[in-house]
Amino acid sequence: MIQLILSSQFLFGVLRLTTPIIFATLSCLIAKKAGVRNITIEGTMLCSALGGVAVSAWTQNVWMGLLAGMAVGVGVGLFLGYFHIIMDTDIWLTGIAINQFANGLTVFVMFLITGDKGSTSSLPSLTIPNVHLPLIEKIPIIGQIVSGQSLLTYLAVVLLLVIYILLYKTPLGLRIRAVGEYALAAESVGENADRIKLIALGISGLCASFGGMFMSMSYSSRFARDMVAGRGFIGIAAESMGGGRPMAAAAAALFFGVADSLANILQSFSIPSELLMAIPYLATIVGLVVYSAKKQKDEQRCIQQNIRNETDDKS
Amino acid sequence: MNSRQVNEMFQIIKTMLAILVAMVFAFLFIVLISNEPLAALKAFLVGPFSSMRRFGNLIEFFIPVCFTALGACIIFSIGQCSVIGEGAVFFGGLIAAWISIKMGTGGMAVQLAALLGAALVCGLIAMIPMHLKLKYNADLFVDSLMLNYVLLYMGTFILNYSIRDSEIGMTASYALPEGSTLPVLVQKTQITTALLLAVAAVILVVIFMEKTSVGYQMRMVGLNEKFARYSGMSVGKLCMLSAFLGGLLSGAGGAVEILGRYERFQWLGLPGFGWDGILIATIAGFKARNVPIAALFIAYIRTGADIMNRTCDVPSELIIAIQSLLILMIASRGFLSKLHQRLIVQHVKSNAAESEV
Repeated sequence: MIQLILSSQFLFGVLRLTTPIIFATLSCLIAKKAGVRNITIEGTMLCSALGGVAVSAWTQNVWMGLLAGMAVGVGVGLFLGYFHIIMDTDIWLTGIAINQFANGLTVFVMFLITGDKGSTSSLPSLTIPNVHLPLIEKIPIIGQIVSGQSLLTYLAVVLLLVIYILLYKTPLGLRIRAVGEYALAAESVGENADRIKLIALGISGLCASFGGMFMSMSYSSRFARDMVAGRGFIGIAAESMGGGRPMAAAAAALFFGVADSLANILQSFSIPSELLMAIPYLATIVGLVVYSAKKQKDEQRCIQQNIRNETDDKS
Repeated sequence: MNSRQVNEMFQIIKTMLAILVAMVFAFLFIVLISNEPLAALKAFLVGPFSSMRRFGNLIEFFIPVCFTALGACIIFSIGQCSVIGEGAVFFGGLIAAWISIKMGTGGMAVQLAALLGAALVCGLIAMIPMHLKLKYNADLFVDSLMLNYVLLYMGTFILNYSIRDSEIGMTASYALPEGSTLPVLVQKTQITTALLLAVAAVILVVIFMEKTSVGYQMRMVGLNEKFARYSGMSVGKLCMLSAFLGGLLSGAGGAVEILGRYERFQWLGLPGFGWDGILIATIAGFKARNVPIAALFIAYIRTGADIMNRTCDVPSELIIAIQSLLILMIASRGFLSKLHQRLIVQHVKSNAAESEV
């Protein structure tokens, strides 16, 4: 088993399975930085997954499909923003309702297009190409792991950097963080908090859209109902564990990718598959609890330290 | 009329208008996509009342979602967002089937044991994410959601390794023993005594939330947690109790669903009643007394959608999507907020005029 885990195939699979979770994590991260808990990532991914497949089949151009999926993602993000920010709807209820909406809508639209409620296998949809990296491909082991992944997997890495730079090195990022930290303070210096939140939600939807399209145009070559299977939600958990830091969140996403691949690989052993399928979800709960407990302890220690310092100062 | 009544009236107007807008949307889409729009509309609107069997379907849908909506009311009215209802329904159904099959006989005692066992187990499970939230401040929404998936796979494991009937062609448990299923109440339908249980549950939850001090404390925590804490209420215990009761009700919903309508346990995925429960609780404004009417309404449009799906060319998922839009409108404080303000201003003015006289 150890051999299997250390094999390049396994690590290749880890990167592959981490990709949608990274996108979901980034999506959650940027919304949270603007002070909005976006739990519609799951639904956004579903909508984009279908949008990408449908338009790529219709235009027979994979890039048009990609663009359409992105537009759908931004649209769902703004839809959430409209209801939460402008119509002042409770964020949890909005999220739950939009996810349900996406569940119904995707099956409905799929039925209109294909006459099938299960999957779009009858559509001649295209897939996003895998990329073989020159030079790196030649390196033993590493080449086998890193090269030949989907274009979107590399995009995930790029997007991680872009989001990091956007948040910490650009004026827009500063605005987003300021609004998320304390919207009233940002408004008091003339910032339009609602507008910034809407922009952040648009970007959040865009990030999620790539995750959805990875599922339907790369991981598999068609759209199927409920195909995202909780990955959007796992991204939310990964973001929580990362504590708002993009790199840490990506590391947490990788952890879930490992759990996912482990579940895949253990199937060749005589472990009941039902229990294996529960691994990523169980890992999410355990990971979240361990992280939260640690954070709580750190905060307590910090407070105690402060009290001690103050009493020292007085004496 | 006092200001509270004005608010209540506004809520009713808002809900009605949201329903109207959603129905108009539904009609528009049906007319747009259907080749036989009139037949489709008729199936959707009148279908549920066109035969006893179909009306039975409506009530059959009503029963489990009534339970899950009551559970959601209790959990959400304390201000916590736990979505454990979905997993609890599934696991409740499984545990009920497991208990009846393992007991191997029928009778009141078995039914009661299956029902109570399922409800208790789900109540306890629902306390797990709440405990993690209170003790470690772990995200309740994510934890409860992930637990749903864990319950699904654990349940499938129990189904496959403990009660699976390998002699039939599908994945299902052994047949539930004769007499362990709930007795049918109305001939030609599958309306069982579960309906009476649902009605009893509504009455009990309404009394609990509105007439007991614990229920009052729970609502107080939901309105203002800090105030409740400073008033000396043990917020943690109340949260745990609400999670327990929420899980208990959802579990019971799953149990009566399996014991009332199935011959074997055969759910291979989460049945969706938990999410419907949350949506119904939203329409009901998280007040238990409004749950029956909200649940009946959702049961009506869903049964209509199913009939339309079977008899015409319009898929029922359309109604699921539109139902979610309806929830968005009802939950939004911005929808019709100007009308709300005008009503209140009018009310204050008329009061002022009265006091001058």
